[in-house]
Amino acid sequence: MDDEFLVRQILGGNREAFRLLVLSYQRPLFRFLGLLGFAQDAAEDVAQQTFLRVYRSLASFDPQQAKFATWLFTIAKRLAANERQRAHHRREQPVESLPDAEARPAPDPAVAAERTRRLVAAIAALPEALRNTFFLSQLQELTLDEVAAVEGCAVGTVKSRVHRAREQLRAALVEEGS
Amino acid sequence: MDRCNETQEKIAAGLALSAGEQRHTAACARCTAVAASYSLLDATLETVASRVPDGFADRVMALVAHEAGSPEPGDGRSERDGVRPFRWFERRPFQLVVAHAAALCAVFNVAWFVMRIFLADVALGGTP
Repeated sequence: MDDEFLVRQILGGNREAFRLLVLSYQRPLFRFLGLLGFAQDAAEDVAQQTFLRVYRSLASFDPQQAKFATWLFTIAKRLAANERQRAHHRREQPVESLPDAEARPAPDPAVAAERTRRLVAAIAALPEALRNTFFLSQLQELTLDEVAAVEGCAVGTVKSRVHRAREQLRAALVEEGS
Repeated sequence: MDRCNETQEKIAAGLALSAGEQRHTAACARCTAVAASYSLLDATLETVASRVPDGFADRVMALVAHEAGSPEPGDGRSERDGVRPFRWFERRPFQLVVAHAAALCAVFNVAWFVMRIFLADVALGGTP
């Protein structure tokens, strides 16, 4: 079932069709938020807000203008930015938290944890535009053209940002061995 | 060297390598090292991504169902009010009554103020 069909179903009154959309996009959305550095609780809050906003605004979604995934991640990106701003005002740190180590066991926990710590610090040090573009590009749901649409920039800019972000993150990990 | 640059550029951009580039990478120590470091990056990125909490879709659907009584999908209401219950003092009729009562009170106070001045003049023997 494609997304546009599901959207028509929801607008026609079939609310359960929305569950299928949530199930389709919850994993990439959490992945995006996790990569952006949101802790589990904050990620859940933003993801919930994103789906609620999507539900309320479905009538304004125009499939001629954008793919559903593009539209959803545009909303998610905006809400994530708002959440970051709110956290900054509260002087809290919802981002840059280490992921739940128990949830993802590694062959050598100490090395893996140190590697993850370095990566999380490197992610936090990335400029926001670079970080958003890079993590959107990591989602299989979006092509580079669609990432460019979400970010409001040219595809060439997306490629360049992805390249720079990958290089910076790789350098941070490589330093570990040196 | 050009081959190394081209291959490493593609590895850095996360693009798929052609069969020839893969053979070159396997034979070239420099390109192998670059490929290994980017593989490490990709693997570590996987560990950073958040997992979907159990029952997340059910919670979203419960919030959506909670909204079903008032706004329909796409009616453009405010962003977060579906997360909390609708409060009685946010109802439009209540707000109208309070606004009218406040306006009435203000008019009465002004009238009372003018009247007091007028009555004071009469009490002192002046002409109204």
